[in-house]
Amino acid sequence: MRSMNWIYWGVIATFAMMLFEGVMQGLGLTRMSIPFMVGTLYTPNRSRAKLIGAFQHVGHGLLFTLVFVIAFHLLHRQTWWLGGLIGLFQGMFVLVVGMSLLPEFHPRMASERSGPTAMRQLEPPGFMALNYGPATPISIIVSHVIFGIVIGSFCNA
Amino acid sequence: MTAIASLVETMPGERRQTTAIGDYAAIGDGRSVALISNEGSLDWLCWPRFDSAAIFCGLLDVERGGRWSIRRRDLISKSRRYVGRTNVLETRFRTSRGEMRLTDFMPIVEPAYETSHLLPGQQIVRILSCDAGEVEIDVEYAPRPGFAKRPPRIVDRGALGLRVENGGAMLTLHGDLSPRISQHVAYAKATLSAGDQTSMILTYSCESPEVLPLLADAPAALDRTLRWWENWSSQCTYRGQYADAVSRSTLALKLLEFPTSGAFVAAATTSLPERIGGELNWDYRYCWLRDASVIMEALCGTGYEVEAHTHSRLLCWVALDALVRLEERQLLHGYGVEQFRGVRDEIRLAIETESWIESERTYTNEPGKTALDAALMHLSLLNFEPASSDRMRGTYQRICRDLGAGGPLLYRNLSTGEPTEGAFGICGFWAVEFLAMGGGTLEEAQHAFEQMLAYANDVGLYAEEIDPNSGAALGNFPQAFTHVGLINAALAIERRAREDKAGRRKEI
Repeated sequence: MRSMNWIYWGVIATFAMMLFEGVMQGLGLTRMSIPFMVGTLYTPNRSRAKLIGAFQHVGHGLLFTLVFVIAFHLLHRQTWWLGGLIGLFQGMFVLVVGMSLLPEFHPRMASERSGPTAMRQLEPPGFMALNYGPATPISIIVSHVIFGIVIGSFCNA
Repeated sequence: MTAIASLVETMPGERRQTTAIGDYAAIGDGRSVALISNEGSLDWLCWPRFDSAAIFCGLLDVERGGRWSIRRRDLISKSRRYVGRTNVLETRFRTSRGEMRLTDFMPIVEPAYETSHLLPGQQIVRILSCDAGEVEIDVEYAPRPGFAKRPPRIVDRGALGLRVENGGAMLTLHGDLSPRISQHVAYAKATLSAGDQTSMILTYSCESPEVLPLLADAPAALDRTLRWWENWSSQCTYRGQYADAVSRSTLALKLLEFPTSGAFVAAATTSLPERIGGELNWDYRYCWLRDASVIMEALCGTGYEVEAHTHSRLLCWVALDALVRLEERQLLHGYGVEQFRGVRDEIRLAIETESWIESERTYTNEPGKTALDAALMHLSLLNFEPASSDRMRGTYQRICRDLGAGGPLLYRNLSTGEPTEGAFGICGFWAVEFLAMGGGTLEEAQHAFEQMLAYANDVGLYAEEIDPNSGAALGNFPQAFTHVGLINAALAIERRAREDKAGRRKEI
């Protein structure tokens, strides 16, 4: 049972993260929809993209739960604040590096410079994803911190 | 080729002209409607829904309300039309040096296409085509989100368009003209030569990454939209002599349908005056549930039986009569139909005795009073009493005498003794329907109908009211009820023509 612990806490932490992202979008603080962004890697169908993206988001969450667990083992310590700190670094990495690289590997994403083409029509995130709303950096960082805190607090693998 | 020249802006101190309500035409996609003047200025748009705060409201305030205008220099003449039986608007301009076509539409596609293509959320596409000579155009883009509460910051992001943050949404203008931004307005100028075509696309998105539109796809989007509307229009079964007017009215009504619920908003606008300088400035961007039986129930339940108007009683009679007919067709069991029948007959008796004034030979709006309302024609339109009866002919004559506003126009009522607003478009069409149902001859109905058709604007749209003196449109626009009246009147004429023809055949 203990070996499966990371799976359900990974799922719960990802749901908490997605809940926060959804609230931020619902309140109009950011327009960013991670499920839509990820799902359009596979399909142009808007509603199907969101569904696929949501599943993949959970898959990524599980993958990163393993990374967190390995980090806790290597550091011989597991606390909520250490989880939050790792989440903070992860969020900043996603924001600064991941978002700037996204147009390079997303097959449907346009580039800032050349704009949309027949194959690439999605708006690129821009520096720190600011194209998706001024509060988007906060949304990304805080959601990852929430993810890290949940894993650091409860995951016992 | 499109030549980008220097940039222009409105001359300092230039006073803008207010556009008459009837000089607008509507485009839409079932979620919202934009109004475009016969000068090519988009002056009204609420996004993302009918009832959202306006993004352009120059219709209400020409100085501060904002617009997205495309002006031509040295204009000689202009004309416009809807392309076939669609809601795609085409405006033609002739200048001293050439001719230009402006095609405005909100793209719509079939669901199957939507599932296989990435499409922007909401869009307005404006295609400019030069057909002859050379035409110089000036574009002014002045969005004013939130009913122009405060001027927005327009950011030029190059290939990503001119962007305006609007709460949680992004408004983006895409085009290949080089803009200059000055004091919350973007200006651009271009010279188009014969054969040139350029497009501008405005998008609105609450979700990122936004799907950016392709300017090169604008003609294909136009084809898809034309096909969608033509397909929709082809379902209209009316084939009578007024097919064009009926089709235009059904298209106007379709623009006002909110597809999520199937409800129709009363009109696309808010705050347009029903009386110039008056207080009658309502928000019509909602569905009004005129369920008279509920109103009657509320009145009776609170002891206001005496307040019940003839029309409210009539609608209750209609509801009960429908129930009784269902029972007679054996489609309704166990609902106490005998009781419904009894109440229905009591209501009929009450209307026939309390709402009828023998000395005046007319029905009245309220029992025991002499005031008239054009809605009394519903006594025939809803099959309470034949239009050919002496009572209804008398009532119709009194309505024309007391509420007539000249020609086929009728005021709804004159509760204060004097007209406080314009003539109601739908009341004129009720009169046509009444005549066609036996209140007059077929020729009288056709004549009145054709007179009413003359009050439509150049693209066949009506506001709620008509100024009897000038014929100008008054009130919110385009108005669903007026177009409903037109369709019902045309259908009644068609039925009457068939009946007369069959009658003549019988006589032979």
